[in-house]
Amino acid sequence: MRRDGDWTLKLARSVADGKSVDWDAEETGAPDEESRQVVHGFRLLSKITGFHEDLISEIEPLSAGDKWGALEILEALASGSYGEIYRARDPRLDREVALKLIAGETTEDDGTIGEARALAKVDHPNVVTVHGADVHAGRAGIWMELIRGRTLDSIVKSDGPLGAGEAALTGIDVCRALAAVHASGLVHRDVKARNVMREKGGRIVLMDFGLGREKQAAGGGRTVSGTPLYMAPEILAGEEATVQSDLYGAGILLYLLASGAFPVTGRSAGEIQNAHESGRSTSLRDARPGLPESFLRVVERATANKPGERFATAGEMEKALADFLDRESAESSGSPAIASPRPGGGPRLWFACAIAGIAIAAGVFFLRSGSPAYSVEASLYREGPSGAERLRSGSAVSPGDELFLKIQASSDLYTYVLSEDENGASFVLFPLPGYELKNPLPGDQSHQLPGNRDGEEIHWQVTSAGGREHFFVVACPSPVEEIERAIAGLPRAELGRPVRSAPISGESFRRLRGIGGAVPAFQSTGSNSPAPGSVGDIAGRLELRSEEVRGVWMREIVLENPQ
Amino acid sequence: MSDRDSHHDVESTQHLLARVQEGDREALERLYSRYIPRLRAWATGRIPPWARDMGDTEDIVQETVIASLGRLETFEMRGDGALRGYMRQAVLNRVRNLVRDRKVRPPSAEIPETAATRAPSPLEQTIGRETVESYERALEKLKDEERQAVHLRVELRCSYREIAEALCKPSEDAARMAVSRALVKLAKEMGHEA
Repeated sequence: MRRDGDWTLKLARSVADGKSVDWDAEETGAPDEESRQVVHGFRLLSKITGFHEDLISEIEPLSAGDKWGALEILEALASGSYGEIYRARDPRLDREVALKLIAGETTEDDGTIGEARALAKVDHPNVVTVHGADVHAGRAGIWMELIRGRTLDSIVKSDGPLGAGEAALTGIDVCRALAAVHASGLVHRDVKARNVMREKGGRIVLMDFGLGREKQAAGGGRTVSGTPLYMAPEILAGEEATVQSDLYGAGILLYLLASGAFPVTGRSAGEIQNAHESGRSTSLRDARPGLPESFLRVVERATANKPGERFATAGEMEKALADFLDRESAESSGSPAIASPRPGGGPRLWFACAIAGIAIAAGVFFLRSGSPAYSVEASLYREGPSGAERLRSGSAVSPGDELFLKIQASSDLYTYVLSEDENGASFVLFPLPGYELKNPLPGDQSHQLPGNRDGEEIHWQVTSAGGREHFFVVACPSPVEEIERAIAGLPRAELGRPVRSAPISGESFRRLRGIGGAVPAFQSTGSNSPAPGSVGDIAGRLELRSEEVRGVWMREIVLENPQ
Repeated sequence: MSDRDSHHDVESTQHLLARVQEGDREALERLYSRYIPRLRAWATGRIPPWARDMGDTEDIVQETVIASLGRLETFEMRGDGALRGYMRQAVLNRVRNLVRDRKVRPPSAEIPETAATRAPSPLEQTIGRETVESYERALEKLKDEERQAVHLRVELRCSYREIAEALCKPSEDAARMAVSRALVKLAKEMGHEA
């Protein structure tokens, strides 16, 4: 039967192109044993080709202009373990969405759609909003709000770890997101830095529910899913995911945010499990020395080996993080080094010098690292019945005055605003927990600090007569670790802090001094800009100047707040 | 894919590469998004379950691809297929290193062998471990260009145009011939082993 000289080439082309071949007939028709062996070799190769053909055909990505159902594909954004994510347009509502296509063929009956519908029930600002789910062309897809920002994984990898304060603020938002997920009867199963995004503007959003499963459906066969470095020991041992295993993941996330590392590492899930069982883990105290004790305790409890020793709920963990911020504030404000008045304004001088020192050191670092220059414009305003008045160093303020800061930079900047009176009482005015604006502030747009909270514009308020008030505004393209650490121990401006119109004496009122309050914005009928030609306008124009800097930018504004 | 589309891809890939080499993060992410679905799908077939446990498949592929993209200053851009082959080879090397590391590691009392660590890759499950090992051994006996031709066509299912670009062949027919000849050599090697 065999054959012309290039029969092997013909078979090779059939194999390469995935064409059907009657292999039994080919082998039977082989003229000799050697030819039969070659045919058999091709037959094996055809199986390998077919296997890969199946793999690739399942995931052939969509391209710009393609349609999936009613959605128009705009571009591929990313690829996850469970499929691809596209930027798409929903023409019915004329809005852009993120479309996640689940890998592999799907039918209506396999649970994907039901899961998506369950996820759509989760309505929380820190959880990505699911708009809908469907199956088209054999592929299940979920479309959801399009988040523009960076993952925490990307932030830590490119910018380094966060300070404890910033990590705690982020952790609070993650806990709120998990509380909402758990309240809907779901567990996330894959809490990790790559699944949490910081949107431009600062909103923390929990993403990727590819692994989400209904809690009550968790009785079936074991399927270990998730990322081993974030997996709780009991999950590695084969138990089902629970609220506590999600909180373990949140604890590992906090550990990573604060240190850039993981407590337990290994080359496989088995090694990681073994490390857990033999106690081979690195304490956060060793991974990142100097973190506040109460922050360490939160992380240690969240990542306890036994589920029963962890937080019972996401809400409890959120409260522990909030308590950490409050406790650190209280401990610090009671510290003689901060609270005790000293002749010559010792504490204030120390604080100002510390920040200046940071600015210089960090500035050198960024110069060396070649960070591009950026420009910053920042001005402090006092709100009033006739509009906003721009303040400059030397302006007088009094208890009850409402203040805000306008800032605009040419690039995304981590921004810190602090105040200190001449007795050394200090407050963190920004960033503040619970506010919509978070670090880093997006560049090329004007921001008003402290910003909105629960949709309501908030101003700082002068809550007591504290003598001379110092405002420090610090900005940097990356988190300033030393400042993050310092502000973790300072009290924050709080809504509802009472206004004291008389000078305050006595240790018990010392924490109320200065600009420590926050109030809903005064509803002015006037413009936010000072009257043209006014003293405030002229002074402001002198004060308001764009500064080309590298590294850390700092501005100090001194206000008179007579006792 | 039409010729026009293919050329468009080559141009835009080159443009993206130039931006990546200038440190443009967005270009890196776009380039990564462009290639990763096929590579990830391929990797799911080649990575054994125990290796996937080290991080999900995406982690392994992503880290390897980004690392290889970071070394692009040493890469001579010859076309879209060339880059695809380059990144696929990087992932394959990574997977093979994982397998090799596991195979050469001495038995450890601390790391008990489990069913998971012995579990075959999906490819091994489908065609048998012996066949996969025979295929790998036969591949090793091919010349580099022949091996790359097989990788691109058999495993990544690349078009002949992409393969022509990757292997610097003057035409799709030339690429088709290169693939066929490599497969003939491969089939003979595997047939003799069987």
